[in-house]
Amino acid sequence: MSEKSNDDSIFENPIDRRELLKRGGALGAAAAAAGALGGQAGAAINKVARHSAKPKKGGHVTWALEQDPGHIAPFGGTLTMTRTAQEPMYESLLQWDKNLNIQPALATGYTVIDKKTIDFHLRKGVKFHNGKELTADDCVYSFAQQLNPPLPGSIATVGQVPAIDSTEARGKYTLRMHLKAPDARIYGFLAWQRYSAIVPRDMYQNLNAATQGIGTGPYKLDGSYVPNDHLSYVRNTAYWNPALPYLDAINYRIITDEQARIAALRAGAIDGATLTVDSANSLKGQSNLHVLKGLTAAFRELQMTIKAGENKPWADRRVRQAVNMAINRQDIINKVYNGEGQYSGHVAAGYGPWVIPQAELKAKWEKYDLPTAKKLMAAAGFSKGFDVSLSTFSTPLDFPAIATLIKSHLSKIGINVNIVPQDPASFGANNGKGAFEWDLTARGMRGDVDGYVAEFNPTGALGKTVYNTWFNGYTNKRMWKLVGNGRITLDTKKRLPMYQELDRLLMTELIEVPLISVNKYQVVNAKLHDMYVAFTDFNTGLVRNAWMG
Amino acid sequence: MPRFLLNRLISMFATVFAVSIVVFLMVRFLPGNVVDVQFGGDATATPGARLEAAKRLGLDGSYAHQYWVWISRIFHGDLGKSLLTQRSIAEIFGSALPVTIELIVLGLAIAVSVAIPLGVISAVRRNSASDYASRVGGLIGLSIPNFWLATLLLIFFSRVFHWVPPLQYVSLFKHPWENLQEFFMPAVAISVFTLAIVMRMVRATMLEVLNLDYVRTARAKGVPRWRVLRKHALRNALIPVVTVVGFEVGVLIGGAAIVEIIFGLPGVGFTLLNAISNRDYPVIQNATLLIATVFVVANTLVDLIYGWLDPRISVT
Repeated sequence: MSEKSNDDSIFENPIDRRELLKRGGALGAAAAAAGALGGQAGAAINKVARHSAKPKKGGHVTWALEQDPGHIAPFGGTLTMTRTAQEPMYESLLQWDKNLNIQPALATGYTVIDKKTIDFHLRKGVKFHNGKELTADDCVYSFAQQLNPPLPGSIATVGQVPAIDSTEARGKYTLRMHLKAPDARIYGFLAWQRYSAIVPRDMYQNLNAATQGIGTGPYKLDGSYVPNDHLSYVRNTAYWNPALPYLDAINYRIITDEQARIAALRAGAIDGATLTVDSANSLKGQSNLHVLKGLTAAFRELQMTIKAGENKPWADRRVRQAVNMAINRQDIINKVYNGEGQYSGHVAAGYGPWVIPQAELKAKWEKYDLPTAKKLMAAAGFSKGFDVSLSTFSTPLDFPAIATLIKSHLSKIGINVNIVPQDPASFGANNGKGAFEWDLTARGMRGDVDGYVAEFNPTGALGKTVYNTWFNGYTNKRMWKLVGNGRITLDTKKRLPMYQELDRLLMTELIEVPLISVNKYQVVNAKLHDMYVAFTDFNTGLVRNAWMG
Repeated sequence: MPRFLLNRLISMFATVFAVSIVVFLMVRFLPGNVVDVQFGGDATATPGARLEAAKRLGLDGSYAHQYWVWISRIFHGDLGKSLLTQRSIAEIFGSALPVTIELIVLGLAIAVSVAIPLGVISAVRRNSASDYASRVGGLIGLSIPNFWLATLLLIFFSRVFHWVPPLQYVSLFKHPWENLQEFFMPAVAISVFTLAIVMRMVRATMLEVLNLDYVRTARAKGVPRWRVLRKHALRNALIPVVTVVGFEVGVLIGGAAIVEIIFGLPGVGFTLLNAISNRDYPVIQNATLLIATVFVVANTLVDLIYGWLDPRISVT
C-alpha cells in the first residue's frame, strides 16, 4: 500500500470524497467505505440564510440553547446538546462537510494497511488551544478515552464506537488504528465527531473536563461553562484552516423556555435559537429575523416487542403490515407538523443513498390503505381488533400528539391503543428492559447506516441486547445476514445493494414501523448569513459556515 | 424562652430527618434512574454494562447503604457529586443558592412592601374606591399563575419595548445595576400571589384590630391617628401576617423554580427540575433537603418572631 500524506490545506482547493481516498492512498475496497453517506448522492441539503459568496470575518453571535448540556466533557456525552455545546472546540480526524461528504480534518489522509489496520496521517502544525502541537500521542490518549469514557462521561456511548481494538503512535504524525474486525463504520464514526474528539494527552488530569476543555477546533472556550446559564467561545486565531472561523465569538445562553427564546429574539437579545414549527412560523414576517428549516436525522418510529412465548397479535406479520397501512402519515405531518415533514424508512429520510426514495415509500411501502389493512387483520384472525398499550414521551408535545393520531387511525381497524405518556427516564428504563408492548420514539443521527439497523441482528453490541430483549420471538436469517455482512463489507458499491435489499425487507417485515422525518426550525438574526440547519441536529451551520454581515 | 427554642429546634431536626428519608426513598421509587437515562433509547446496553455504569456512579449498594453514605457524608461536610456532571453538590449550590435567595428575598420584599400599605389603606378606607380596587387587585393576584405572568411580562416587554432582562447571570455584588435589571421582572412575577395573600390578610386583621377596645381607647385619649395605626393597630395586626409570610416563603421557593426556568436564572429550582428529569439522585436529595430545611427554619423563625411580637406565646 502506498502512502501519500499531503499537508496542504484542503480547503484552499476543496476535494471530493474520491480525492480524499486518493490522498490517503487508501486503495481498493476498504477505503471506498469512507463515503459513508455517499459523495454526490449526498444527504439532505438544508436551506441557508441569505447565501453569499464572500463571507466576512468578525462579529459576535449570541445563541440560545434550548437545553442545558449537563457537561462539556469530550467523551461519553449522551445528550445531543452536549455535543452541540462543545462542537466549536473539539474536532476529530475526519469531518463531514455541509452535505455530509467525508473530508479530512486533523488527519490529511489515511492508508489502509489491511482490513483491520489503518494508518492516519496527521496534519502537521496543528495547535491545541493551549499552544501545544497535536501529535499521535494525543490521538492514542484520546482514543483510549473514547473506548472507556471517564466521568462525567457515560460508558453508554461505547456502544456507538466501532470495533476499534487499540491505537499506537508510529512517529509524531502517524496514528495506527487496529480494529477487532473489518468495520465499515469507522470513517463515518470519525467524521460524525460526536464521540471521537482529539484532546491533548492527559487533559483530564489537568482540568475539569466537565466545565473546561482544550481542543483544536475553530473556537476556544472563554472561561468555563456555567451550568444552566452560559458558555462562551472566542476565535481560535491559530486554527489550522486560516479561512475559518468567520465569527469572533459565539456566546451560548441556556434558555429552556420557548417563550423566553421568542421574546429574546424579538428584542434582539439573541441572534438565533431553535423553535417549534408553530413558534417559528409566528416570527415569519419579522424584518430583523429569518426563519430557517431543515430536515434532521431525528425521525419518529413505532417500536414493538415480539417475545418468545407471548404470541401477541402483532407477532403475525399481517397484523404489523395492517398497522403500517392504517397509519396515515400525511395526516400526522399535516396535523402535528403544519404540513411539513417527510415519510421515513428505517434509515432516516435524507441519509444519503441508503434510504428508500420518498416516491417509493409513499406509493408502496407506507401507502395509507385502510381496506387492505382491514383484509389483513381479518386474514390474521383479528377482524375484531385487540388492545395494546403504547408508551411514549410526555414531552415534547409532538409525541403525545402523534400517539393520539395513531390511536385514532388504528381504531379504524379495531385496534384499541392505550397511550402511556412517560418522562424520559421512565421511558428509557422500560425501553431498555423491553418492558413495553409498543412504543413511539425518535431516532437520531448515526455515523454510519449500520446504526439504524444494527438492532435487527442478534450479534454485535446493540443486537445482542435489543434483539434478544425485544425480538427474541422473531427469526429472520436473511435479515441477520444482510445486517452482519453490511457492517463488515468495506466496498460501498457492494454494500449499497445490501442495504437497499435490507430496507425493503424491513418494510415488509415491519418489526419496527418507521413513521415520519421532521424538520428542525431555527430563527436567526437577518444579519447572520449562510447559516443552515444541520442534518446532524448539531449547530454546525453556526460553527462552520455562518458569518455576520 | 430557652425551652421554647429547644422544642422548636428538636422539632426542626426531626422534620428534616424525616424529609431526608422520604426524599431518598421517593427518588428511588421513581421509575428509571440516571443509568436508564444514559442508556435510554438507542444506546441500550448489556446488563453487565449497566451494572458497571451503576457501580461507577455509586448506585450499586443496598438502599440502606446508599442512605448511610449520603447522610454520613453530609455530617462530614461532603454533599457528594452530581451523577450527571460530577460537579460537587457544594459547588452546584454555591452558585445556585445566591440566585434563588436573591429572587425570593426580592419577591418577598416587593410583596410585603406593597401589600402592607395597600392592606392598611384598604382597611382604613373600608368600602371606598381604593378599598374596592385593592380587593379586586388582590383577587386577580390570587388567580394569576406566576408562570403565566412571567411569560406575559416577557412577551409584553419584548414586543412593546424590545427589551428583555439580561440573559447571563451576574452577581449583585459585581454588577448591581445589571443584576437588578435581571431580577426585577422574575421577582415581580413570583411576588404577586404572596402580595395578594398578605394584602388581604393585613386588611382583614387591621379591620379586626381597629374595632378593638384598646384602639378606641387610644383614639379617645387623643393619640394621633397615624400613631394609633402604626403603634397600636398595625403591630398587633401583623402577628398573623408574619405567620402567613413564613408560609409564603415555601410558596415562593416553589414558584421560583418555574420562574427561574422561564427567565433562565441558574438557581436551585432550575437545577432541581433538571436533576429530577435526569434522576440525578444526589442533587435531588440535597436540593430537596435544603429547601425543606429553609422552609422549616423560616417557620421556626416565624415562631420566634411571633413570640417576640406576643410574649404570651413563648410562655405558653
